[in-house]
Amino acid sequence: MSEAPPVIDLDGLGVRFGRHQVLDDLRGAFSGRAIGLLGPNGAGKTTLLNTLLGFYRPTAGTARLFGMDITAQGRELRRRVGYMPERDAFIAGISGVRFVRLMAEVSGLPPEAALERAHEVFFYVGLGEARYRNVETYSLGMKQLLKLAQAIAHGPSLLFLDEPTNGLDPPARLRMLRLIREIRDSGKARIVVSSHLLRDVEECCEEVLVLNRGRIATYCNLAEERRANRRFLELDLAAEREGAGSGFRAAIEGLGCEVAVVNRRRIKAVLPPGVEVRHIYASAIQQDVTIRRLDYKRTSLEDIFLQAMEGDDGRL
Amino acid sequence: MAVYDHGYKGYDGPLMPARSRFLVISRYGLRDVFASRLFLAFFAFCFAWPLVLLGAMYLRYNAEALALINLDSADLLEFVQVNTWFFQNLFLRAQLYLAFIVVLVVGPSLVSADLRNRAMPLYLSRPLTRTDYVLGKLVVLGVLVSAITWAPGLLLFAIQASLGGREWLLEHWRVAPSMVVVSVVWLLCMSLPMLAIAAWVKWKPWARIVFMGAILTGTAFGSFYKEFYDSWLGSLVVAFDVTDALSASVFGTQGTVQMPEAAAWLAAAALASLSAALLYRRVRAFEVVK
Repeated sequence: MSEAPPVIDLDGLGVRFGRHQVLDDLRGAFSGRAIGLLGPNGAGKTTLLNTLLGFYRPTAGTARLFGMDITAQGRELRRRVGYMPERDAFIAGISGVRFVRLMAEVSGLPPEAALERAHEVFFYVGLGEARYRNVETYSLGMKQLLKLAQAIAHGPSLLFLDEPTNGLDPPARLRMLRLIREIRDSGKARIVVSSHLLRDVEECCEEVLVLNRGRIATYCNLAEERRANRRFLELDLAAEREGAGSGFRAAIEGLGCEVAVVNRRRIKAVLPPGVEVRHIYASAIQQDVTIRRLDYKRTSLEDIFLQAMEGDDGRL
Repeated sequence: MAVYDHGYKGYDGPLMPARSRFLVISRYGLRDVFASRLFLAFFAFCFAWPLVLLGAMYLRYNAEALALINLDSADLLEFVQVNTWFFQNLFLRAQLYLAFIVVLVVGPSLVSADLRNRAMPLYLSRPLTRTDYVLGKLVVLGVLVSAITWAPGLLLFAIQASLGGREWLLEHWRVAPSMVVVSVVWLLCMSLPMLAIAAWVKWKPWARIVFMGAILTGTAFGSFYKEFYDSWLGSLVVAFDVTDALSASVFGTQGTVQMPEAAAWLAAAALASLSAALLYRRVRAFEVVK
């Protein structure tokens, strides 16, 4: 059986507006359930989304979504895509449910199915009670949810969300992130989230692409990073008797751990497969050593992001 | 994703054909237009004149009805000559003036709100091209204009043909396609500039003012040029002169405007092309600032 094509496959993608090179030679294949696009303002995140959606024509290279070329098969691709733009976008003078129904019909759903889906997505995003209100009367938070509703009304298999938590208060932000995670976990749609908020991306994405000045600054598989972090420990010890500390180090080395000594009371260890934290505690009891503190080494997305920005040109 | 089932579900049901997708925009556009009772009343009024003409045609061939209202059939036969002039000037010219008001009222509301509220990315992120979008909006105006111009015109023609007999039909057959052609050309020459202006101005009242201003300025400048230089060239910027010349060309009659047919066709084609280009330039998901 042939392997499924990556969700996004960037093949030397470049976009130039006049003399301004906005995206430059982007390459890479990404297959995560939720892919985050990170970068400072003007890094090219929105331009990349817009190019993948077919709004801008690539001036160099190309990109493929689910193996389909964004230029040659744009129309077919857009049938499978949902898009939530960053800024306010709606059709004036109509009710919320009519707006979402129109969007679903334009995506190809028959009128009856579109109406049914419109009602369903309104309840799904939590705007059920407001669905007959004119969209112009919606608050900022409601408009964000409305944009999400129209993006998922036709059941896309790829969802582009551009700054989905923009302007939301904390409860609304949590609700939006929960919805994104739910859609991700349903397995029905892959998600690409563009945001400058590291926390949002960290909370709902598995892969992260950091852009800076139109180039890929770094790529990080958050899921793997999290798994790796789970194996890296930092321990603060208090030995009850002379030589207990070295005995403990020897014991956990005997378990197969790689151990580095920071000082007399602090060591770092990498757990091999099959060895769990409880084995470390058992060794400590045997060696009469008290573990005062045990931390998983945690490389946050912020660390990765800052490292990428520094690595790119040494400036932030 | 039923309303009671708060989980996300995809859609794997049937889809409508892609080639007719633009008609969704037209359908919604027409529904919005007719949501206004004022417009509905005006649109109904647009059928008053065709009904009057229909009544005159009926009376012309019905001596008994004429007797009831104390009219002499010879007088009416003399007064109401149902011929090319009747359809070209008495019917179509009057209806085109009403169609102008329809375009002026409906045109700006079709695109300006979408652009002002940044709805274009929503449309164009779906399997819909810019051409589909423009076509969808144009169909709204096309349906409205057709409903009050060539459609009732063809109905009147058919009724007259049945009353006037084969001889009348053979003599005037050209009237039917001419009404359609003039209406369609007029539709393109009025609707495209109106939509283009609405797309650039993005505010309905201003779009109407700019459109009216453009027509009035063209008429004033063209009339002045014609008078001052005694040249037909001024007619090129007078919308109603161009319409008259085109109408005369299509119906095969003597026009009231001294203007070469080719120049009228060229002016109409240039206006429609320029407007389409301007409209197409504006109908984008995002504007690119270079």
